[in-house]
Order: sequence, then C-alpha cells, then structure tokens
Amino acid sequence: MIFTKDQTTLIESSPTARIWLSGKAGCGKSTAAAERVRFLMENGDAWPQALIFTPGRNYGSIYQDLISREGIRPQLTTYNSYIQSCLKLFWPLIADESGYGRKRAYPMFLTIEAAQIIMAKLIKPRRNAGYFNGLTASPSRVFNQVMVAMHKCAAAGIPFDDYATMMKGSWGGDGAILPVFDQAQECGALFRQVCLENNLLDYSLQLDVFTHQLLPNPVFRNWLKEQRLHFVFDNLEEEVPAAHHFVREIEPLCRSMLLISDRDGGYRGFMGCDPLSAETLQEICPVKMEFEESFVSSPAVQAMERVITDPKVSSSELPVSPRTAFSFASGHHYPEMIRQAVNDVANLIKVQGVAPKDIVILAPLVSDVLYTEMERGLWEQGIRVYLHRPSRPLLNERVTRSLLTLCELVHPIPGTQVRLLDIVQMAQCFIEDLDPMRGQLIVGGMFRERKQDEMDTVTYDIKPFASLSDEKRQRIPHPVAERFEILRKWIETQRKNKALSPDRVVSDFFTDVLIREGFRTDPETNLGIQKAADSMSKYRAVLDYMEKVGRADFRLTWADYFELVGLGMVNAKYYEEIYAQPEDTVLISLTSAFLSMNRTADYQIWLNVGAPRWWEHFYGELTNDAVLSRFWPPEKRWDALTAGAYNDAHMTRQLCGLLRRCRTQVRAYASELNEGGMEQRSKLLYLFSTLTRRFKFDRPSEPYPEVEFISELREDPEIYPGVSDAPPIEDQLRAAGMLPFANMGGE
Amino acid sequence: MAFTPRKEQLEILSYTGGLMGISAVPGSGKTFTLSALAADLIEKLVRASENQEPDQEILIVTFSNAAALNFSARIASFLAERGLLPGIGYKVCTLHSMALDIIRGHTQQLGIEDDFTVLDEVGSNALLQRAVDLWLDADMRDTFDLVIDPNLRPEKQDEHYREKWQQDVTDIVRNVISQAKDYHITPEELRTNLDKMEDRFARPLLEMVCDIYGFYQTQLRNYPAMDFADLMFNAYRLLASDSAYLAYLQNRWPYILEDEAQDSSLIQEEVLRLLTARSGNWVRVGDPNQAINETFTTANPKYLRNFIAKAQLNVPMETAGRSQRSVLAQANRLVNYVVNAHPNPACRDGLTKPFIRLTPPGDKQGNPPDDPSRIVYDPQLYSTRDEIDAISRLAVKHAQERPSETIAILTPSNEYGKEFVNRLEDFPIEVVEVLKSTKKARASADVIAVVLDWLSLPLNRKHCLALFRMLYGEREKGEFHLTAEDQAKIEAVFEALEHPEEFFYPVSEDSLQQLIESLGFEEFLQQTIFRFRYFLKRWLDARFLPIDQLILLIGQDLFHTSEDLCCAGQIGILLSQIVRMNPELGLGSMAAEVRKIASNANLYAGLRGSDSQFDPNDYPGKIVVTTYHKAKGLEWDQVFLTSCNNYDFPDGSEAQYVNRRYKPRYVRDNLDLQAEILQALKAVSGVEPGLRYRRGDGSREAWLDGVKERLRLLYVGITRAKKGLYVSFNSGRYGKTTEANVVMKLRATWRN
Repeated sequence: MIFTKDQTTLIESSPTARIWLSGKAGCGKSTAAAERVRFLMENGDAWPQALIFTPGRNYGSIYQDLISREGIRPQLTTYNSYIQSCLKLFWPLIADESGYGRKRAYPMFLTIEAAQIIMAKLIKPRRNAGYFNGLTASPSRVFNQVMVAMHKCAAAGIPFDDYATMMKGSWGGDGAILPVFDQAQECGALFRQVCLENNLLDYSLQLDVFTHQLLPNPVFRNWLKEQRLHFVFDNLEEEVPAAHHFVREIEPLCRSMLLISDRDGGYRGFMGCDPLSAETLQEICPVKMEFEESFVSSPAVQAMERVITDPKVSSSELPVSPRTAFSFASGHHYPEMIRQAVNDVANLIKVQGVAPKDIVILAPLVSDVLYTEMERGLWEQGIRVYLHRPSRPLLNERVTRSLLTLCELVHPIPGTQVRLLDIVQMAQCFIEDLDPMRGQLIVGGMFRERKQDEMDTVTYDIKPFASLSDEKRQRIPHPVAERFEILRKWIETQRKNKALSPDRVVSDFFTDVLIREGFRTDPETNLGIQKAADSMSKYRAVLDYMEKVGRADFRLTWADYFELVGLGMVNAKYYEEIYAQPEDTVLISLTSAFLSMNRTADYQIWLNVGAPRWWEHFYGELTNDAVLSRFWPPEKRWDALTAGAYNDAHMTRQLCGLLRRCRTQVRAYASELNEGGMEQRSKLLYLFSTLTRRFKFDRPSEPYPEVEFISELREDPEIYPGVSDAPPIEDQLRAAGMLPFANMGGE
Repeated sequence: MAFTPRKEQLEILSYTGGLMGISAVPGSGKTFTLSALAADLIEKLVRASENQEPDQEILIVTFSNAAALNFSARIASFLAERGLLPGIGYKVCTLHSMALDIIRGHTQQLGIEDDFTVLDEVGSNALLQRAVDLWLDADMRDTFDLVIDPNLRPEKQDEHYREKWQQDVTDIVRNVISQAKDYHITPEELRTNLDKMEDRFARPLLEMVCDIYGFYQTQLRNYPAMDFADLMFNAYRLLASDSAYLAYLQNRWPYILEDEAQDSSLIQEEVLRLLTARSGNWVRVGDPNQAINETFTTANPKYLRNFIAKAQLNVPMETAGRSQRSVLAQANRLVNYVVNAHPNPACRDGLTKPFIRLTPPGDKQGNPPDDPSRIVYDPQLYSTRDEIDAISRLAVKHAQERPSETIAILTPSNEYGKEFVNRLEDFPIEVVEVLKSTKKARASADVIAVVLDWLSLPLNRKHCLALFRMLYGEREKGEFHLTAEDQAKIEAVFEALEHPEEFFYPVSEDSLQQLIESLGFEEFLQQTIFRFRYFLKRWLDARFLPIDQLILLIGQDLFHTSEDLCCAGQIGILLSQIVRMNPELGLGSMAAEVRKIASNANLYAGLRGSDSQFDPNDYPGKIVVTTYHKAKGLEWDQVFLTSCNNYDFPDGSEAQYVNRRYKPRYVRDNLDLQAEILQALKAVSGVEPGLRYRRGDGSREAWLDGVKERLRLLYVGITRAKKGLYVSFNSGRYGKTTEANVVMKLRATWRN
C-alpha cells in the first residue's frame, strides 16, 4: 500500500511518541494507524503489547488482521469489554471495598435487558402510586430512561447522587416536571441497592467500580505498567468520558500512545459518548497531527459539505460546484416518494450499472411501512435489500417473536396468551414453502386452544396431522404436512421436560428441528435465532446466579422477561448484523446506524427529507446527554432555544458525516405528507430548497448577504398587561391575578 | 389576479405595524385583502434579506385547513405576480398546526416522549370512552341518581341510564375537559380546587369530571399522545415557561395575521398574545356576527370584540360585493331587528353593527344586480317530511332552469341534511354532500375493518367477497371501480372457488394463468383479478407487522387522500394500544374494535393535509347539501335555508326555555347538565374572580348564549346567498314547533 507523506510521518514516528491524530472521516487515519501498529510491533522491542480500543467491533475491522512477524496479535477490544475482563480478573482485589453484599462470589454482569427487567420490577409499584406522572411517556420508556440516566452519569463521571440536582438546576421547561428527577434518582438508588445486595454489576456500576476502585489500585496499575503497552484508541469521539479518563490515567504507564479522533464526529451521544471530553486528551499528546484529504468523497460532494457547514461561502471559493453531488425530488403523497426512490435505485442498478452494495437507502427513522414499501417495490424490480435497524424491541423482530411463541407453546408462561395467528406466523417463519393460507388451514385444524388458571393463560392441545379430515389433508402438500408433524412431535417431547428453560427450548429447536431439511436456515432466520438465544441465555445466567447468590427477598422469573418483552423491551445492540449483508443487496438503514457502521457508499438515497427527525435530536426526558456532562455549566438552563441550537448542530454534523461517507452522489426524496397523511416539514427540506436554487438553476449562485429584517418593537402595557417583561410562568401569573386577558375586562 | 382595493381595503394594505383589528362583514373580501397584506409584508421581508431565505416568516393563522389552503393559494398568486418565490418568507397554518410547530422538537421541556402522537377526534374519543367506562364501573349509578329527574318513572330512569347515560357523559365531559385545558387546569389542579365547591349537586359532578379527566390524561400519558386541546395547552406551557424560546419565536414571526379570529378561544388568544408581545404586530380579522362555534368549542367572539376595542388601528370592512342588494337587505334587517327590537333585551348583543354596505358605483367587485323577486319567505308550515320534499323539488327545478348557477340547501343538522340527500337521490340530478366528515371516517374505517376481517380468516370466501365488493363495488369512484355486471362476473369466480389457497398460492403460477384464461374474461377483468390478488397477498404477507404499521401499509395501497390516510393512522395507533393491553386480541376482534372506534368518529380540522378544500364554484347546476355551520366561508348563487323554526332559531322568550335545545333532557329541574358543570368549573378555576356557582345560572346562561349563536347562524345562512334566497320552516320532529319569530318578523315586513 502506498501512503501519503502525512501517513508515513505518523507511521514512522518515535516508538514512544504520544500522538493526537484528528481529521475528517475518510482521510485515512485508521489505515495509517493500523500500519503504525504493524510498524511498532515489527520494529520495537520483543515484548511491548499493542492494545487497541475502538468504540465497537465495526470500527476495528482494519486492525483485525494485524499480526507481527513473531505471530503476535494486538489486543483489539472496546473499553467496555476491557473493563469487564479486568473486573473479572481483579475482582478479589476490590471486592471488599466495593460495597457488595456477597463478597466471596464473583459478580454477575447484567445485560441491558436484565437491567431493564430489574428496573421495571422496582419502578412498577411506584409508577402505580403516581411516580412519573409528570411525564407523557410509555411505561417501558420510563424504565429505560431511568436506567440510561444512571449509565450516562457513570459514563460522564458524575455521581448519581448529584443527578436530580443537575437536572433540576438546568431545567428550563415546565416546573411541574421537576419532581420526576427526584423520583428517577430514588428509583436509581433503589436499583443500585438491589445490585449491591445481589452482587449484580450493571453498566453504570461497572464503570463506577472500575474507575473509582480498580483503576487507582496500585496492584492493577503495576500490572498495566509491566505490559509496556503501545496504546491506540481509534474513534475516541465515540466513547464515554470514563474511557477518556482511563486514557489519561494510563498515559504514564504506556510505552506509546496514539489517540485518533474524527473531527465533527460524535454520533453516539445517546449512549453518553462525548467528543468534547475526547478533545481534552489533546493536552496529554505532545505530537499533534491532522489529516485533511478525503479518500472517499468526490470533489463535488466535498463542495456540498462545505456549503452545508458554511452557507455563506461564495461559489468562487468552492473548487468545484456541488451541482452534481445531489439531486432532489419532492412529491405530495408518501407512496409517490417511495415510487420515485424505487425507480431511481432500479435505474442506478439496471441502467447505470451501479452495484447494489454501493447504494444505501437512508432515513432518520425506518418504519415498517417505509421498509416494506421499499423492499416490495425493489423486489418487483428484481432488487434485493438488506435491512439494518439495531436496537429494536424484541417483539418487533419477526424471528424473535416467533421463537417467543414457540417457547410459550412449549411451556406457557402464566398470563401469556398465544393466538392462533401467532402460531401460523411462527410456522411460516420456520417451515419452508408454507404459505399463510395453508398455514391457517393446518394450524386451525391441529391446534386446539385451552384456557387455564385464573390468569387465563392459553395453552394448546396439538392433534396429529393424520387426525385432520381427508378434505383438509388433501389440501396440504405432503412435505409441508411432514414438517408440521416434526414440529408437533418436537413440541410434545419438549413439553415433557418441565424444567426446560426458554433459552434451552430455543437452542434445542435449532439443533433438533431447524437444521433439518425443509426448515428455514437463511441468514435472517439464523441472526434472529442468535439474537433471541443470546438474550435468553444471558437472562437465564442472571436467573441462575440470583438463585445461588441473590437474596431470597428479590427474585426474578421468566414471566418478568416475557412481560417486559411484551411492553417493548429493547434488544441489545448487534453490530454483527452488518457483516451479514449479502453482496447483491442494497442496504436500508437508519442514518444514525449507518454513521456508526464505519462504511461508505457510492450513492446515498436520502428518504423522507421532510421528516422533522432529520433535525430533531432527542435528548430524553430524563437523560439529557448535553446536561449530564462535565462540560455543562452549572448555571446554564436547558431551554428550547438551547435545544434548537443543539438540533441545528446535530443536523449539520449528521449531514457532514453522511457526505464524508458518500463517494459520488446524494439523491434526496421528500413528500409533503408523511405515511399517516399528516403534513411534514423539516429544516433539511429548506436546505435542499436553497441548494437547488443556488446550484441547479441558471440563477446567481452566490449566497445573499445577511440583512436583518427589523420589526419595530412596541410594548404597549395598556394592550399587553403583564407581558412586556419576560413572561412569568403561568402559576405566578395566576397567583398574581395577572392572567393576560383578565385585565382587559370581559363582557 | 385582478385586485383593485377599495378605500377600506387600501387602509388595511397601508398597515406597517401594531395591533390592527378588522371587523369584516361577509363578502367584504377579507381573504383577498388579508392575502394582499400578507404578500406586501412578505415582499418587504424577502427584499430586506435580498432574496435570501429569511430566518423570519410572516405567520398567517387560520381556523381550518381549507382556509389555510385558500390563503396559501392566494398569497402564492400575489407573490408570483411580484416575481417572488411562493413558499418563502411566510407560513400559513391552522392554529393547531402552529401549536404543533411550537412544540415539535421541544417536547423534552414538557416531559413528553419524543415519539408522541397527536390524536384527532377519532382517537381521543376512543380513549375518552374507555375513561368513561372505567368511571362508570366505579361510580355504579350514584351520579346518575343525583341528576335524574325524580318525576320520571323508575323504568324510564332505568332506560335512560341503560341507553343514554354513558354517551351523554362522554359528550359532556369531552367539552368540559376542553374547557379545563383552555383554562390551563390539569386534573390534579381541579381536584385540589374541589374544596372550593360546596354545592352538593355540582361537587359530585366536578368529581366525575376529575376522575374521567384523570383517567383520560393517564391514558394519553402512557401512549404517549396529545389531543388537539393539549397541543395548544402545551404550546402555552412551553412559551410561558421558556422566555428564550419565546423570544426566538417572537423574532421568527415578526408579524402575525389571524383570520376568523371570532372563533379563537382564550388559550389560543393567549398563545398569540405571547408571540406578538414583543413586536406588537398582530392583525386580527373576523366577524363577531359569524361566531357560530361557541357551543362546540371553547371559542368566544368576545375576545375579538375586546381586541378590536383596544387595538391601535380599527378598520371595519363594511362594504360587500358578494350578494345582491335584496340579500344584503335581509342580513341588515336581521341585525337591525336583533340590535334594536329583539324581545329579549339580553339577546340584543347577539348580532352587532356595522351593517353591510353596498359597493360604490363602478366597483370592480360590485354587487350582482338587484332582484327582490329572488328573496322568498315561504309562509307554509311544513312537516319535516314535506319540507324536505318541497325544497328538494324546488332546488331541482332551479338547477334545471338555471344550470349555470350554484345551489345549496342548508340544514341545521347533519341528520336533516342526510334526509335531504336521500330524497334528492330520487331525482335525476347530481347531489354533492358536504356534511360532517363522519361518513368519510367511517368509510375508511369500514374498509380497514373488512380487510382485517379477511386477514383474520383468509380462507373464508364470505370475507373475501365482502372485501372484493368493498373495493370494487361500493367505492364510488377511483381506480377500483367496476360496473355491476363486471363485478358480478368476478364475484361468481370467487364464489366458485372451493379452495382459495389454490388461487392465491397455486402450486404453480402457470396453473393460475390457465385458470384465469379458462374463464374467457376480457383482458381488463383478468387484470382486475390479478390486481385484487396482488393486494391481498401483500397484506397477508404483512400480517407479521405491528398492527399500526400493517394498517398504514394497507392505507398506502388503498387510500389517496390525506383524510383517509390520517384516519388509517389514527386507527392504527389506537389498535396498537388496545393490543398492548389485550395481547390475545385476534385480527377479527380488531376489526370489531375498528368499527367501534369509527362509530363515534367525527373528524376535525387541524393537522390533516391538503385535501379538504371545497369550492362551490366547481359544482354549477348541482345541488350541494350542507349544514349552516359548514356553509360558513362559502357562497352560492341560490341558497335554501331550511328548518327556520322556533326550535332551531329560538328568540329567547321564557316560554321557549323549557323546550329549548339541550341534552340530556332527563336531568332534574330542567337543568342543562353540561352548562352546569362548565359553570362549576369556571367557579372553581378562578378565571372569573368572585364568581360563585349557583344552580341553574349555567343553564340560563347557556340558553341565552345558544339563542344568540342561533341568530348568528341565521345571519351566516342568509349571507351565503349571492342572488337568490329561499327561507322555509317546518313543525319539527314532534310537529309542535312553528315559524321562528325572528323569521316571521322578517317575512312580515318584506315586500317584494
């Protein structure tokens, strides 16, 4: 590989250098960093290890195949995985001081799902008593938000005891909401107490214990020092401040250090990641380098990015016109937009010869309607798509849902009510060549519903296929009937083993049934099974652990799991999904997910450009990532204006991120009405309107000078009693008898 | 577009800033003038920023989507004439859209989940009914026993409880909750204030409201969702608590022009007041004489009147060119009578001056030629049936004799209008029904329900046929329509299908092709069959999706108007919530739920897109049937005003009080239950300091307000006519009522 001069300088820098490398995405930073690691491993001492942190597996692919001549591989990991392994390794060292109730037992690391279930169990009775009434939010959202609030505090290094004070102090909204922050803190403290009593480590505790107990421990520090690490941290801006603190702490213990940051990155703020915090690490690196030249985007695309970041830039300052970097089409109805986009993608592939994998279809939200319409439209054109939507509720995943149905058929969970329709869908999901109608016919004939117990739990008696009438049997192809029989017999066998937990049911189903001929084993099904099996087995591990180690007065059950799944429990992230994309498919993804995929595309199709979601960034009612930061000034208020400014910055950052991952062209589509027939407009729509006007028509292409349109200020207190000052809040107005209209007299 | 402004219009167009109140008589060209003023202001704003897209916008708010569309079109046209780009530098929206715009992106400050939904009346009604059911279970019938007229026989009382109480409570509480939100009172605050209410009749009623309001808000919270009243309530909360954001919006919208301001409510006015507090640039246009929504909403024309009285500029638009002299004379005579001679002095402010002035000679938008013979007050006392028959015949005759004229029959209620439509269908003439949107909502909901029925049992031939008929038979227009003969041919095929799976999922596609070809149908019918099959398979394959998404997907395939799509969206949201609470619900039961939701559907103008515009000029020679209420803002050459009797247009005399329009009628002491609760709410909420609840006051006040509103409704009816006006009356449902006294006075003194 040929490297640029800047890249070569980096690669060959001193083996003990502390280097800060920054630049836009697509400038070859990671490529050069990987080469530097190779260089260090091959030219340095015999035994300095390389430790490489990336925010996720997908960010680290370039480092995966590194191997030195001696056969040594660098340790490639994430900060979170690293601290988990350290906590496991050094637990005896810190168990005494960490406040855990079961000091002799190793702790249990809670998954996000298990933590949500525990949180829900604790909050539910309080919610029924009126907690969180100030919020307009679904119950599962509240459970999740309290948990995320704890995560963000720990990630930012803020003691959770300070949470309510911080949130209330910054609160610029309706005063009636304020009590919910105290309630969230109370619930969080309760959660933490349960964790301590039962030796459970959720994400926030992992961060806290590692940062405050293990990291300062002299034994641990000595261990780190002896490794004489070459330490590399790529995409530092996508990590949490706790990780940045770790970097600062180990800097004196490392042999060399390379910190890499994407300028204008920081797409994972919802997880507590903080680019501002990352920036502060520049000060520990005497060597600072910057890469500028993009290896990805065409000059026109780069020019488009320039215009977005600097709307006042004159055309003469642009090396080329962004005219060819984008196209924009707007229609009235939603299906019209989908049709246009489908035809466009088909044209790119069939007429212009673009490979499907070089096209991505992006929207800030990919609803089922959007996906299904696109998928069907393209399927009719003979084009296959691959969908990437991480962090969805388990219940909304087809395969996962079918597996849950299967589990409930084998061992009904009290209170659950499987419908015949669910069974048909489960059968369709796993049995090849089964259409919905024959599925309905056969399930309707073989499965007989029975209600039992006071909770109306539904169970099913399953009759053999042979017991169906002749007429019905003749309508079912023989191979399908055989597969149903296999399924029936397998369920009957499983039912005999009462102790079988749902995760075992799933793994047995895979090995006993799915691998047989006539059952589905396509990548999508396999991925779904992997998700469900992983979710369940991790939960079972928690159950087993609680059984052995936990306190008798706090018990979790499978019913808790199924209940929360029913409420919309969010699945943990699975980056592996993106590696499953077949070559001949077009990717459909959320914009945010695409930005975290660390990949590029020739053509980006931006859908639903009128959707407010392009601009709106959600900070969470209880978990504002701007406020839960060490950079938030204590006296500053989070008001609507601040939120608006953050949204503006967020949109610009997001668009630039997308453009830096686009080689040739963005093709944007909008509809005036959303899928539900409601009008929609976004700032992005206005942006495309401006771009189109400036660069697509034969009109002056210069930006217009900024002239403020001044309207005279008139504040006539006779007409506006009490509103000439900054408006006092409603309660004060009412208390003072100064509701605006009251003084104008009535009839 | 040629627009030559009159003197008063010129005065409005010379506006540069400040508070301006415009009281505009019907037909005075206020939309034109306001659009021209908007275009002037927009031009200044855009030119000031040298054609750059400015950060500021002229905000034009209207009451309905149709009005917003009308404004948009006219402003765009004015701007095009001036060489400016339409859509830049201004925003035209309904008040509800404005509120949503204010909230959007700032929900965190209100503690609202970002994925919130806006429920229209279909959605919020379903929630409210559930809240009422919960309350009824807990209340048993204690509250009913408190309010029931003790003079009614026990079995009659039971019948009312069984058949009417639930619906009446729902209707009443819906309005009371809207009013409470207008007063910015939450259920919790209302409960705290209950102690102020000592009256033993009113207190339990307020407790009822409190309970239902609380249940209702809890459901909204858990969705999470907002109803229309919440939109404005939350917009106010946000602006009142966040001065920086308020300042930002004040700068963004340096001028606000408000149309139909007589229909604004207290909270809407407060929001606009906050938004204009800095610039003071607020133009309110309206006609207090056309305030006809008080009974259904929290609107009140007194806000506009007060504004006009205090505004720095007060420009009355008194000249109207819409109608011929004799039509205007009827309107002015009505105003004169009410202001000076109404038998109940308390009603004399029901209508107010100014009188409508004729256009000056040579005016480019002058009045049509005077023709007194086209003003007819029919002296005949009809039964309702006879009135329907007689007026229908007259309207048909008129349409045949003057095919170039536009014609409307106005009725006081949708139901009465529907009866006219049914009768008119017997004549060889096209009838255009502009009645409550219920029918539309029900029609969309029915389609969804029939699809769900089939999806629940796709092997059921009956469901399949019903779906086919729904798509190809009953829907009157559009791409799906088939003639009865063609429809029968295809139905015969489906009826003969013993095993539907062989048609939808044949072992090989060739066998299906052979099957279709063997029928010997022409190409068009073959394609129809394939198309039907294509859609059904799409939906069947999508059964895995969450129900809201499934319904939206079906909606994308079937619906082409934003009303229908909105309806599908709302139904989907509600079903998804119902399924969350009852996961065992099958698709068949969901279809039943859809029908239940739709049975009370009453679509409301607000956030829906742009398909709701109605232009009478599109229907010359046809007969439009609509209500007096829906006719507002529209005009026809010939207008028939029906049902002008003392029940629909009372004069406020004591004798009429007992038989007045109100419900429920089974409440003790002739009390208007809703009015009493609203009075109690007003007393405890402190909006009128010193007000104490006194039983009966609310009923009386509501009665007088109702009388006044009906006078305005009559005024609206009269002023819809450009050339001809025909006024008739009937003896009412029970044959007991007579010609409205006010109409009798007008008739008696009118000489052709």
